Amino acid sequence: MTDVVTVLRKELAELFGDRHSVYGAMIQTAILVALCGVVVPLDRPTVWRDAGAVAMLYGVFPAVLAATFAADAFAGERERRTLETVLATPIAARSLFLGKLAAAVALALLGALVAMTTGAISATAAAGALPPALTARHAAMILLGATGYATLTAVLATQISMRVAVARTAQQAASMLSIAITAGLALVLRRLHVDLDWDTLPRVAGAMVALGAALVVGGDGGFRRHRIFDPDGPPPPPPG
Amino acid sequence: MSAAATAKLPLPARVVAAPRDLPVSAPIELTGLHKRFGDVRALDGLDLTVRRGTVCAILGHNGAGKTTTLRTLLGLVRPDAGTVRVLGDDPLRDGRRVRARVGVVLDRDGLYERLSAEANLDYHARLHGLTGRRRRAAVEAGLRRFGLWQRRRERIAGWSTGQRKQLALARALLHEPELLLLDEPFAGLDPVAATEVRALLAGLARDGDRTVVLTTHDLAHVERACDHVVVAERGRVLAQGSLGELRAQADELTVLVRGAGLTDALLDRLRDDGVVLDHVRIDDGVRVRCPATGRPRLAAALVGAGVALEELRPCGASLEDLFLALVAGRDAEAA
Repeated sequence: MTDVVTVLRKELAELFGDRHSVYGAMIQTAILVALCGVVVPLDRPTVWRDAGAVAMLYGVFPAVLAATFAADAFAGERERRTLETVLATPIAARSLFLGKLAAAVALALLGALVAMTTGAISATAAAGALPPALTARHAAMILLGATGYATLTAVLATQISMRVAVARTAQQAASMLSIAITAGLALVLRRLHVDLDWDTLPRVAGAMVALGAALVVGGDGGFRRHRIFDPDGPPPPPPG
Repeated sequence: MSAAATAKLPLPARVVAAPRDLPVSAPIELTGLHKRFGDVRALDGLDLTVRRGTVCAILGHNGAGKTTTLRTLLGLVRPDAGTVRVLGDDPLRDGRRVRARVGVVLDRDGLYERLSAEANLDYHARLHGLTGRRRRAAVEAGLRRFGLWQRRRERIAGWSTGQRKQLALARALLHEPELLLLDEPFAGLDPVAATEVRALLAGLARDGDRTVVLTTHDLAHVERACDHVVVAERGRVLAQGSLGELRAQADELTVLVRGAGLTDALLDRLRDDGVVLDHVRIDDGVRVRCPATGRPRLAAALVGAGVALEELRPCGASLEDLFLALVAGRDAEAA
């Protein structure tokens, strides 16, 4: 657990410690907040009555941020030539994985929290009263949904990151994956005749958290150190 | 030396002098290691044993298998065949225990450019399980050892190669490892920094009873810094021994020849026959480099060609001569 926290802290320190990374993250967060926290709630304050729309605004979009961040986890370190040195320390590969994953999910939650708070303020300003659905229970549900969705996409993005040599390729694949998961989820809910409302949202969010956790546990084979560094197939390290 | 001449060289004997007086648990014992990456054979039956408390250099061109060997020692590469023992353990099975006792500077330097010098060391100290006051003391000692304490809060992007290398060395020593693995530790260092690093490595091995294994293709540093040398090429060990042993072998390879009838045409012909690698005229004689086992053949060939030999004696060859002769022989074998 200590190692997971160590990696989480380092990931966030790297993100916020670098001017270019901060600018990049700030721009993405600003777009997220402007769209989900200002434009939509100002235009349609009643959006808060629609659990599906709220889940999309404050759950799905922040998770896309998490997927992009997670995609850099291993591929980025491999590209910047820091991965090998970390793998030469006693840290368990699983702790490394979980630390990077936790950082991505934490980033998504932060994004969700900022967007949701801004959205509530905007909706209140537009309607002259607090959004009718914004109770502590609903806020918790939204954050749970964001956690589930972010975990799911971040696990898959991190798995991609372990297997791809170039960070940009991993990020592109993770973005496509996020879209595919969103479309797939919508399809599954439709097939199951489940309408997202304030009663079904907690169950859907819980299922996503469970699925994400299952992926973490089930993906054990990918955590082997020599596979992370030297996966069967690409990219072979330069001999020398 | 032309490619044609090289291709005709006879096969050299593999000059492998196994280290003597090995303690029961040598820090590194590699036997019959094989590793392929697709069509590339990175390790081809590599055998290596390193004594405790030595500074051992693995010497070889790019593609010799140096880096793959280091990665195998850390359990980052799984060999296709062969056995690996590092500090008595198998790095694939007991990786955590091995890595806790090993310090590394690999490939570039593995430093996080977005973090400060102190944060870089602190992160690795935590990964090595150092906590609280002990961790802070180790980080401070590491930074002070290399004169980087005043710059501890600077982000390291923009630091010179030498400064980064020093920081990477400080990181490798944080947890006081028994074994140091260094990939090209002198690359990019200016002469002053290189001298300091050499002194540091010698001190670590001498006073701390640590074992240092480094890879390099810089022979000058090897001659000054190392007491055990391994010459590797195409994934195999061509020669290993103490500097003295290898110098003695090198002496056998380069000879000064004097005598009537010693023409350039004759020496060129002997080169084509693989008896001679190359020759240089000096004063009234010729300095001739032979393949690894070539001196007796050279004498016989010269006498057979009618040369009235006045003198044929070793003339103080360098490690470089030995390295080039061994590699040339291996090239011929591969051809």
